[in-house]
Parts: sequence; C-alpha cells; structure tokens
Amino acid sequence: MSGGFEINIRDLDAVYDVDIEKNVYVHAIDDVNLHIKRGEVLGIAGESGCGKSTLAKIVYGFVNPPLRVRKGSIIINAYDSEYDVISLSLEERRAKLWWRVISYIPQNAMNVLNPVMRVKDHFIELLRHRSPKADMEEVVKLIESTGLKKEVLNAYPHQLSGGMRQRIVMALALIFNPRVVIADEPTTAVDVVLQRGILQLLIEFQKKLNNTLIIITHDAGVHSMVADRVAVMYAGNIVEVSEINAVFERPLHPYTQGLINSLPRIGDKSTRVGLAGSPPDLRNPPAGCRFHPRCPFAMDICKREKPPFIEIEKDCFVACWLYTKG
Amino acid sequence: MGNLLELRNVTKIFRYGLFGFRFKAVDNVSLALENKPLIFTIAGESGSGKTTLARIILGYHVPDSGEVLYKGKYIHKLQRKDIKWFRREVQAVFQDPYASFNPLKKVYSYLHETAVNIAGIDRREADAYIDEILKAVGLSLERVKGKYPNEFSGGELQRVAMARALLTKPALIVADEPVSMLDASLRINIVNMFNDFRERYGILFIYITHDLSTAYYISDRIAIMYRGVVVECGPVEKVLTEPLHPYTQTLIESLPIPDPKAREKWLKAIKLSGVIEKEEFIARGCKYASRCPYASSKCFEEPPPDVAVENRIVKCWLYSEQEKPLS
Amino acid sequence: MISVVKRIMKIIKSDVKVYVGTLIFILLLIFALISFLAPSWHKAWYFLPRDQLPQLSSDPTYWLGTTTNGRSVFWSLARATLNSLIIGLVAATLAAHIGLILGILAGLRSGVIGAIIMMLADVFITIPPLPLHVVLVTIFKEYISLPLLGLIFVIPSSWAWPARQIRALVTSLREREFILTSLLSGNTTRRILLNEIFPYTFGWHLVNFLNTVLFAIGSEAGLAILGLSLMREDTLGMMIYWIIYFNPLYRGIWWWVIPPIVVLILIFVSLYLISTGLQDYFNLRFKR
Repeated sequence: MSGGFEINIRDLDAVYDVDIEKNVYVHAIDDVNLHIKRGEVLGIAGESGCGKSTLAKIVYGFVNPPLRVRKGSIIINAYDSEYDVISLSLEERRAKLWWRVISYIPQNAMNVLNPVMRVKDHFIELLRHRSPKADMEEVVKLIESTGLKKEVLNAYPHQLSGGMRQRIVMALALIFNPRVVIADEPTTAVDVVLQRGILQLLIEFQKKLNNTLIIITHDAGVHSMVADRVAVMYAGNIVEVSEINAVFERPLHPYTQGLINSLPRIGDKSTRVGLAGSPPDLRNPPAGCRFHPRCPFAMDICKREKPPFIEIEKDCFVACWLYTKG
Repeated sequence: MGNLLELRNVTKIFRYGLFGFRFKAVDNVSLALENKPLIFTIAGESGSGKTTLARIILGYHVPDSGEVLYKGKYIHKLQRKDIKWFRREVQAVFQDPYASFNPLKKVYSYLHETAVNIAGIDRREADAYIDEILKAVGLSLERVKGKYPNEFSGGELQRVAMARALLTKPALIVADEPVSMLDASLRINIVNMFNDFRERYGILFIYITHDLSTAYYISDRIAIMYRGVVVECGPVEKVLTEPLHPYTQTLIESLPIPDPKAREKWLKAIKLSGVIEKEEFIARGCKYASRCPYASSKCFEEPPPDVAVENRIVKCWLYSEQEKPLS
Repeated sequence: MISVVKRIMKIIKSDVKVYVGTLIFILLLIFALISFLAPSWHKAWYFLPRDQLPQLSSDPTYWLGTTTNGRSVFWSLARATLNSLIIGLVAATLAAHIGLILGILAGLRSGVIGAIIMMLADVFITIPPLPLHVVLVTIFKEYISLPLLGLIFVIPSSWAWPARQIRALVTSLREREFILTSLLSGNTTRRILLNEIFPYTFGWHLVNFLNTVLFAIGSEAGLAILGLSLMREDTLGMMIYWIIYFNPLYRGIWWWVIPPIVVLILIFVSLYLISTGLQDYFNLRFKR
C-alpha cells in the first residue's frame, strides 16, 4: 500500500433545504476548511446541531436531499489516486470509495444490522463486491480480534447484545482495511465500560493498520483519551483546531474555553460554570461571528463580521477576532 | 425524626410477553434516606435497574416483594386522600424533556394542572404563582404561556419540567437522567440549579444518572447499581475516589477524563463481556461474577451479602471475611 | 360553541378533499331530507303511469321518470338515500363506539381481559362478513325493522377493526413519559384518558366512524341485491334489487338504473374524500 494519504476539505458550504421555493434553509456547514493527515486520530467536537455529523456525511459522500452542498471541495488522496468526493456520482462513490478507501460507522450502530440476515451473511454480501468467493477466514480473524467468539457469525442480530452488535459493525467497517474510518458518535448509546472497550479496539486497529480515524462526539472526555487533534465546531463553523493537549490546557476560542471549564472532574468539587444561552437557530444564524451572543469577550467587530479561520501556529487554527487584528 | 424514604428488600420482576423470559429488574434493594436535604445519586449503566427503581419510588410500579415507605407510610398502600399528599411531597423530572410533555398540548396546561390539582392553588391565582416559580428556574410566564413543547429548546423545556416539579413545594424530587439529553455546556447549569434548590428550599434530590463526573460534582451520597442490585453505597467522595467493589473500580477506571495525559493507562486493553445481559440477570450468585477479575467459585454460587466497611455498604464476598456482614 | 364551529370550518377548508367531500355529502343529505316532503302515496305501487321518461316540471314527481312498478324514481331515490344513510349511521355509531370502548379497555388492561378482547376481535376480523350477514339476516328476518338491520352489521365485523386500532394506539401511548407527567400533575386515570390520550384517538375514531358508515351502506346494498333486505322499505340496495328483478336495462329504461348507482357512488366518494382528507389533516398535526 502506498504511503501517501490525506483529505483536503476546502471552503465547504452546505445547507439543508426546508422550503426550496421560499429559499428557506438551515445553514449547516459554513466555510469549513480542514486538512486531515495519514495515521492521525482526529476528533470533531461540538454540541448537537453544530454540524459535525453533517460534515462527516459529506466527507463520506453521503449527500441526499434535503442536504445540498453549495460550494467547496473534498479531495481524498489515497492509493496514488485522487478522489473528488463531491463530483463523483453515487455509483462511483459506491464502487471506488465506500468501504475500501473510507468507511463510516453511523450513530446507533447497534441498530443498523439487517434483522433478517445472519451476521455472516452481512460479511458475505460485502465481500462479494470484491471477489465472487468470500474469504471467511479473514472475517473470522477480524471477529475474534474484537473479543467475540466466532459462533456469533451464525447468530441473528437480535440474539446478541448491543455491545456485540457494535463490534460487528466495526468489523464490517474494517474488513477492507480502509484508509479512513469515520466513527459518528460511536459510544453515545453504550455504557462507560463498553465505551472504553470499543474505543480501545478502534485505536488498536488504527495503530495496527496505520489508517486515519475520525471520531465525532460531543463528549470531551472521549476526545481527551483517544484524539491526537481536535476540531471544535460551533453552529456550522470550525472555530478551533488544536493538538489535544493544547485544547485542554490552553483552549483558544472562547467557546472551547467555556466548554472545557464546564466539565466536572472526579476529585474536584470546585464550582463550575457553563455557557449562557443556547446554540443559534441555523435558519437565521446571527450576523458576524455566530458565537457572539454567548461570548463573554464579544467586541463590536464580532457582531458585524465573521472572523477569518487563521493558522496561529503549525497545525493550530482558530476563528476568533481576539487573535486577528480586525 | 425518622427516615424520609426507606426501601426494604424491594424486588421487581419483569417478563417479556405472556409466557416469556422473566428477570428481576430490581433485586432485593434496601436503602434509607434521612430527612435532611441532600443529593443522593443512584448511578448505573443502562439495564442496571435505576429507572425502574425511580418509578417504584414514585409509586408508578408496584414491587413484587418488599416495601417502600415515605415518612413512615407504605406508599403502595395509600388511601385516596393520602395519594394527593404523596404527590405533593414527591415529584419527578425525566430524561427526555420532549417526551415528558404531550406534543399536542400546550406546556402551560401541565403547570396549571399541577398547581390546581396538587398544590391547591386557586385557579385565579395560578398564573401569578406559576410565574414566580418559573422565575426561579430562569424563565417567565410570558415566555412559556401558549407554546407547545416543540417551540422550546431542550434546555428550556427541561427547566419547565423542573418548574412543574417545584410547584408543589415537594420534599423529594426524583430526577431521572435529567441532563443526559442536553448538550455538555448546558448540563452544568441545570446541575448547579439542583444544588441551589437543595440549599434554598431544603429539597432532597435523588439524582439518577450514568455520568459519574456530574454525580461527583453535586451529590453527597451515592449508590452504584448493577443489574438490579446495589453493589456499593456510601459518601460520594469515598466511593468514587477509593472504590471498593470491583464493578465500581472498573467503572471509575473506564471513565474518560478530560486530561489527555492520563490516556495511556486508559487505553490498556480490558476484557469485554462475551456474556449476553440476559444471562447476567438470572445469575444465581453475584451478578458481576462473570466479568469480575477477582471472582471465586463462591461468587458464582451464592449472592454476596451486604458488608459494612467504614461508613459504606459493599455487596461483595471479598470484604465479608474482614468485617461482620450486615445481612 | 362558536369556536368549535370555527375550528370545524377551518378543518373543512384546509384540504381540497375534505372541502369537496363535505360539499357533496351535504347535497346528498339535503336530497335525503327532501324525502320528508314526499307525497303520502309515494310508496304505492302502480300509482303512477309506468316507465315514464324523466320530464322537468314543477312537480318533482316526474323529474327522474317512473319505474316499471309505477313509482316515482325521484321520491323513491330520496327516501332510499335517507334510509341507507340511517342504516349507515346507526351501524357506525354503535360499532365505532363499541370498538372505541373495547379498544381502550384492552389497551389499559393488558392482562387477561385485554387478551380475551383481542382474541374476539381477531375472530371477527377474519370471519368473512358477507356470509355472516346472510346467516344473521336469515335468522332475524321476522324481526327486522330499519334500525335492527343496522345492528346486525355491528355485531360481526365493524367493531373489531376499530377496537384493534385504538388498542394499539393506547398501549403505545401508555408507555410514554408524558402520561407519567400527567399522573404526577395530579390527574386521575379518567382525566388522563380525556386530556392526553383522547387527542390522539380522536382522529382515528372519526375516520373509523366514516369508514364504518360506508361499510354498512355497502353491506346493506350487497344483502339487498341478494334479496335479503327489507322488501317494504326503500333503500339504495333495494332499488338495485328491483332493478335486477324487473330488468329495465334491457328495455332501455336508463332513468331507473342510473340514479341509484350515481347516488351510491356519490355517497362513497364523498365520505371517502372526507375520510382521507381528515387522515392527512391529523397526520400533519402529529408531525409537529
């Protein structure tokens, strides 16, 4: 496998159409730029409605109405080829990208298995796309490396527990050794111990195969345990991208600061304060910086103009007028 | 003054279907809460029985064995006139604010009903009274009146639910995962509000959650549940920083901490369960035995007793030799 | 009172289907009520000249011509419409409400009582209605007067389907958290049914009611064609029976054949339009 791999997201803008005739839409992704490297674990953090799931879906190429990409490009460089996700057709994405180059583990993964097919049939159906005869040995090895017994292959999904199903979906995502795995809220519906196990598995596979892992979750604790870099999203914008230690020790953007400060930790009973207000309605986002109504440092310019997304240090980005002379 | 709330050997059995699989959602749980304002957390994963326990305390489920006493009265044997008293004393807030209100009804109607039916407020004065309580949670009558649930954000709606519970000036509020559906930045505000109400109005909170960090932050005492059984119960500082029961230990270790430097230990592989939850529910001995690193054959055979260690209670064979068992 | 009327007007105007359906139905209703103005001899056979073509005159008696047995098609049709609607109404009111009550009962008490009610409902849903009707009518033929005919359709099949639907609705609603909130707000079971569950069941109940009206009218027509209905009364089905008996079609007497069929179709179409329009309306409300 050739070594070069990266994803370049440029000037991405996407909306959810609510009423096409009246031009009413939810402005879900606003001017997003991101560069994702090989072999890194990138966390995308943010509250519900900030656009992180939407971003993941667009990177994967899963764009269905009412979701519409208005402008921007996503270029994936893998296996010595360049893929322009947005301009590829659905069939091309399915044939060239999905499962092979990029894999997507959806939210509530435990519920996406087909209830009338046995587990092994899920794998057989997938493997048939590559070659007519499915190689079950690979599958067995993969299943066992997640800690499951190979007997689960003969079971139906409803006979297994949620955690087991989650691991099966992970195995399905990894069977073709994709370069990028996107895990969308992989642990929101599971308990803490299982969450740890699943994340450990994801990291183990990531290290072994040296692929890129994109983890999307609102749980800052999860990011701190697994991510190398974190991109913080708010109301459709990426407001900060930093290396993991920097995010927790020296958060730059006021939103990130507010978020980190509001996290309670065991062993620390000091009073914590959260952010005031609530995220904006993206049908009518605030003018200028979308965070300004809740920002304790809001200045005049923040209400008028959107701050530019600048690189403050190497690989460290922030979009805030506090760091840009306006 | 006796205990405010007492649960004695409460067991609740559920079954799937008419002739289906039976299991004990709550298995022989005993708890006692004194009559002074504090925040008591019942913590556990999904399937631990904490929500069932909450509903038993509210009188919604009737236990198959055991009793629940509130201020000395058996709540499942209350006379009609006492039921109204009970509803005034004990109120609740639930996990999903959008499910707690009928989407076809205006949210104000619940506030009005609670005020008139239970708090005994006269219809004409209800508006003023409700406005007062809404201000205490950071809202106001004009922001709430005439609106349907979908016109509120999650955080606001949960505050309305809180206000509804406060209308009767209860002595006990059962909060079942009140913040788990809210965004992280809003959680701490609501949780701070609980603390505030405990101090101002002297309310005892039973806070049910799976999030141990917020539990640590606001509660005084905590009970950890696993598959319907209380495995450890005591002051929150001790239980969460020096856990005794193996399950509590695993739980604390598995918590992702917002401190990246601690990750190496966290990423060390753990043994994930190969056992389906159903089997654990009907295990003969200790329910945690199949996942416990210290399990002995005794653990699989006999259910462990409640052992008093310092000022805690731990349900584990590991500690029974050292101290005198309680049961 | 005014606000209720206003709301009904809003619902009617909200959807084309409901609007058109209501319009047609009101016209039919007026037509049916005109039958009260019928001259006293309108039921007598061979009173008028037979097989007369329709003529427009000031006297409605000849507007649609006469039948082969000397009756005015117009007055017979008016009376038949009225009677068929009555049958439909009686049957539907009884069936839909029996179904509602049993459905709520089965929904709230999911143990033995619920199981028994549902088993009965399943039995009656699967029994084919026409043979059952035929058997029942034959047994009760001596005692049949107009309302009783309606009852016969109630017993077998019309109650079971609404019962099943309402029960499914109630069992799923029962588990929702807002029921618990309502309980904690101090409401009794009766109040909870009224305030929380009724808004959901109301839509279904109305639609079931309309569908049952259609079903009853259609069943009566089916029985009448077999000759098992009330010979002495005019109903739409009976008119068709006489049409088959006297074969006016072969003799070109179209003015007797077409009107009852048109009226029957209009009843079905209007109620069906109202029913589907209402379903859309209620579905939109729930989408909120």
